[in-house]
This record gives sequence, C-alpha cells and structure tokens, in this order.
Amino acid sequence: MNTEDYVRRRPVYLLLDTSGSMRGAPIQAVQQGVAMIHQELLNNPHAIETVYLSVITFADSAQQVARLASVEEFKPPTLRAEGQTALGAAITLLEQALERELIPNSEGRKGDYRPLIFLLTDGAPTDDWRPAVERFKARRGNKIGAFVALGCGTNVNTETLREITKDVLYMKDTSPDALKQFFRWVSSSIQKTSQRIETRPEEGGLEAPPLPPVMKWDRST
Amino acid sequence: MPPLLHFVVDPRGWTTPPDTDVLITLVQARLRNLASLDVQVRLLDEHWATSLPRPETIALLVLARPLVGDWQSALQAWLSERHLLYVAFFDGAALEDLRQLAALTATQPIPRAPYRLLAQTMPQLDAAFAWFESLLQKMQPVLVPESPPPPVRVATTRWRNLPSNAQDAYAYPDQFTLSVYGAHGYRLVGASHRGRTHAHHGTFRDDAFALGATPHWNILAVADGAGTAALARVGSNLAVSSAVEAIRAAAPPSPTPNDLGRAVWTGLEAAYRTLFDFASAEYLAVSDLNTTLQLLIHFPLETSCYVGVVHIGDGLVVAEAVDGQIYSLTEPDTDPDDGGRTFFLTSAPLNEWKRRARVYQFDERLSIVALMTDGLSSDLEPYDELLQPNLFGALRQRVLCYPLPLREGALLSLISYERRGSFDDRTLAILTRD
Repeated sequence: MNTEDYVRRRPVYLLLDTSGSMRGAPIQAVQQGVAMIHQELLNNPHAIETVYLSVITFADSAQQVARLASVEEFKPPTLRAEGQTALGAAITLLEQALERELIPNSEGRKGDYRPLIFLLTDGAPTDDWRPAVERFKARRGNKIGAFVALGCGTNVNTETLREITKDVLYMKDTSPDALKQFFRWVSSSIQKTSQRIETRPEEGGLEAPPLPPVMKWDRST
Repeated sequence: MPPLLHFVVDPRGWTTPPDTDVLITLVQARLRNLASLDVQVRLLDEHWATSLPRPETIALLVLARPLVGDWQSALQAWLSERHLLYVAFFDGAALEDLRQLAALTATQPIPRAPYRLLAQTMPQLDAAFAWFESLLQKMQPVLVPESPPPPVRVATTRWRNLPSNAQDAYAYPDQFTLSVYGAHGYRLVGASHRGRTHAHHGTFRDDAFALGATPHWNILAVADGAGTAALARVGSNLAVSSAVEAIRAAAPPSPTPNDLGRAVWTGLEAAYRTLFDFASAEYLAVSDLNTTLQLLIHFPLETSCYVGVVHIGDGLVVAEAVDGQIYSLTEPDTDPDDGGRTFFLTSAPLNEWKRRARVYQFDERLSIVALMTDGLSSDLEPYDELLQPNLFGALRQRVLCYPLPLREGALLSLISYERRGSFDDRTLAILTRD
C-alpha cells in the first residue's frame, strides 16, 4: 500500500552538565553513557525507526552540541568539562530547540510524539535559572512526555530540580558506576517508550441508555 | 576538476553514418567505470581543430578519410599538458595526416602512436573506445576524481521474523484471511497481518476480525487486542466471533431498520459477556483480555441502505457511497494530543458502549465499507488526502479486480507493506458490491 514517507518521531533530549566539577572520571562516564545509549538504541529496531536524539550541554553557557537526529544519523558529541553551571540557559535553549525541531499536530495528521527529556547535573545552577524554568513550564509544561532530572554529588540542590520537574532522582556521587547505572536506565526507558503503550480509562457505572434511533445521515456534517 | 573527455568521430566513409546519440551511448557504456567524467561527442568537420574545448581535456580523434584544411597550427596551439590528444584511424585515413598527428602528440605524458582499426564498423569503433579506456586507466592518478570517504555504515540490527508458538494453548495463526458471500450481492473479505513488533519477538498477532451474513444483513467485526494485555489475542478473537455469531443467531427473519439498533446491542452484549465469562472460567483478570471492538451491521435495500455500528477504541470505520462520497461512520477514541491511548471493551460498563451504538439511513447504496485497526488507519493519515487514493483506490486496483476467492490473498498483500515507524498488526475487513 502506498503511504507517504512520514514517521511520528519520539524525540529525546539529553541535557548534560559539563561544568568544571565534572572534569575527569565523571565526564568520561557521561561520554561513555551517551555512547552506550546510542549503541543500545542502534540495536533496537523499533528505536532505529522512531527515536531521535539530541544533546544539550551547559557550563558557562548552554550549547546544543548534537541537533535532533535519528539514531542512525546521531553522532555522540565529544564532551569537555569546564566552567560554571548555566542551567537556566540550558532550559531556555531546550525550549528553543523544541520549538524549532518538533513537528506539532496539524489538521488531520499527528505530529511528533511528546519528547523525553533527561537532565543530569552535579551542582547548583550559577545563572538566573528561575525565569527560564517558569517560561518553559508555561509554554511547554503540558507537552512533555517525561522530564527526568538526575542530581548527583553533594553540591547538587534537589529542591531546585524539583522546581523544574516532579521526577527527580538523586545519587550521592558521580562515580562512573553510578553514572553508568543512570544511563542504562535512561536507555531502557527510551526503548520501552519507542513501543507504544496503552492506558485504561476510569471505570464508572451508568444507567441503561435508550435504543439508538434510526438517523438520516446529515450530509452537512 | 576532472578532465573533459572529448570524442571527434569522422562521419565519412560509413555505410550508415554514425549518429551522435548512438556514439554517446557507446562511449558511456564503454566508460561506465569512469562515470564521473564529463563526455562530449561530436562529428568531425573542418573546424574540429579550432573548436577543441578550453578546459582540461583528453581528446580522441577517430579518422576515416584525409583531413582537410589547415588544422596543424590550431592543434599545435591547443596541445599542452592540460590538453591531450589520441588518434585512432580506419584505413581510409591519410598516412601523411597520421604521421603529423603522431609527431605532434609524441611528447604527451603517455604517448601512443595512432591506433589502427581493421574495418569501418561499429564494433571496431568500440574497439577504439576500449583502447582509449585502457589509456585513461593508465592515467588514473590524474583522472580519478577525489571521492568522498566511504560513508560510515553502522551495522544496525535487522528485524527478525520469528513464528509464534503454534503449540500454545491459545495459538492463533500469524496471518489470517476470510471471505463470505453476503446479502444482496455484497461480498465480505477480511485480512489480518501480524506487525513487525510481534514478528520480531515471535509473539502472537493481537488483531482479529469476523465476518457473517444473514439473508438480509452483512455483519463485520474488527478488534485490536491491547499490546499490554497478556491474552489480548484471545480477547480480540472472542469479541469478534461471539458478536457476529450472536447477531446472526438473533437476526429476525424479516428485519426492519428498527431492529438494527437492538442487533448491535446483542453483538456488544455477547462480546462483553463472553470476555467476562472466559476470564472468570480461566481465573484471569478481565484486563488480560483487553481489546477494542468495531462492529457493523449493513442492511442493504434496493437503492438505499441502513447501517448499525458501534466502535470502542481506536481504528477507523469508513464507507464510500456509489457517488464517491466518503463517510466516517464512527468517532474513534484517541487522545487528542498524543497517540497510544485507547479504550477497551471491558474497561467501562456495557451501558456506556450501548450509548455509542448508532443506526444510520443512507439514500444511496454504499459501494465500499471498510473497518480497520489503528495499525492501518494511522498510516492513512491525513484521511482527507490519503483515504481516497490509498484505501478505496488501492482496493479497486489491487483487490476488487479479482474474483472473490483471490481477494483474500490480494487484501492481505495490500496491508502487508513495510513502512518506517509502522510496527503494529494491521487488519482490514471490507464490504463491497461488484
């Protein structure tokens, strides 16, 4: 059957803290984690056809180091840790990327699936993050599939993260093993979501309705 | 920039003079391994030497008769490191011309004496091109343009196609088709195709359909078992078969349009009860049988018809009238913002679904009625653009042109296409009149 070449994409954005405190083993673990996610998605035929990945890093400023691309086209970026923790800039950049890169629903056609967003940080934000977060929530808050924030290490402020999303995870250190666990979990979450999942409605009692009448088809509708 | 290949062929002395189009074809066939090079072919005339190309060029001159005019000085001026000339000749060429050409081209990087061709025929001309090609290959370092590095090909996982376990207590075939002769000359055909997710994991097709007919009614049911439910295939198959059977058994001998609403309810009740009864008999949660249900009863009259219909969950029920008008007969349940949500027959009280039953009267005959699961309907969006060509048009061209027994296979092949991002089972049941 001849159907148009059009795929509903499942966009995934990774927001990664590359501030100076991540230098050394942690940034290496993050680098490997991104590569691992990519590799696992490449081994999943569902994900190959639907998942699109993007990476935004933030340190002194935020940068979209990998634009939204299919799993096959995605190239894991090289990460360097240095500078501060511009979380607000990252959220603003994420909002711009969602605006630019996602295909919204249109007349008679469903757009992209809701994006999955994973944020990883090991420190407290150093920029004025609150307005960015408020704007993001107002504009995009109800159009997100999932927004998971992982805070790791002793310097992180999980209260800040809770203001961004209700799904906050915490790890007490940035050891390679702990980060690896996180990325493994991210990978399996993405893979599960790339196959559709149905949900059940609420149940409730109703009285017996009248038999349906015979209706003339109204052509005007 | 790679050099230009310039061919000058003498048109004289042939039994049938060569045509430039034929020559170009011949050259291109011969040089297809050097395909990225630009090729020019022209016939020899008095001005050949003055009109040789300016950009970097390797030229082949094929002579059949003595050259005329003063070409020597023009050629001598043209020849350089960037402008090379090779010569092939038939026996009609003048020896003096060849001697002069040989002298002029003797200092080229890869010098070659003029190449003698045995007879003035096309195969011999091709032999000249072959000789020229071997020369070009000798010059390869100059010739082969710098190509981009080969694309990095990531070895991606392939889709598997594992059969489902035929020994399973609740085994259903991975694909299924059926056709039925219906009331009033209508034909009912259905096909169900296992999607790539199930094929990859060797799990069962969860879609189901059933067809039935009474002397007055045509009955179609389609169901999509929920991927999250353990025995979704049992739920979908029980729902469609019990609904169609109950409607058939309870059909009045001389029905009136008012009987249709009750008949739809009868089908709904049978499907609903059957799922709950099965669940309690097998000690299952009824949610293990979660399934959608589309149920349609068609009551054709001479020039008009009635349709009783109910639809729980996603998918699509559409009809095309004889005048080409397309009707969407139900309002499928889908989350307005995101796909992946649907309703199931057993997830609300029966009365809620009874409220959804509708009976419609049409003043004209319906030529095609189609019930399908969302694995197919979501590939047909946007409906207003794609339903006509990709469903009704495709059905006419690829299914309805066959006699009934062959339509089952044709319908199955119609819905068995591969499409990126489309993983779900697909089921299509159609009602048509020839």
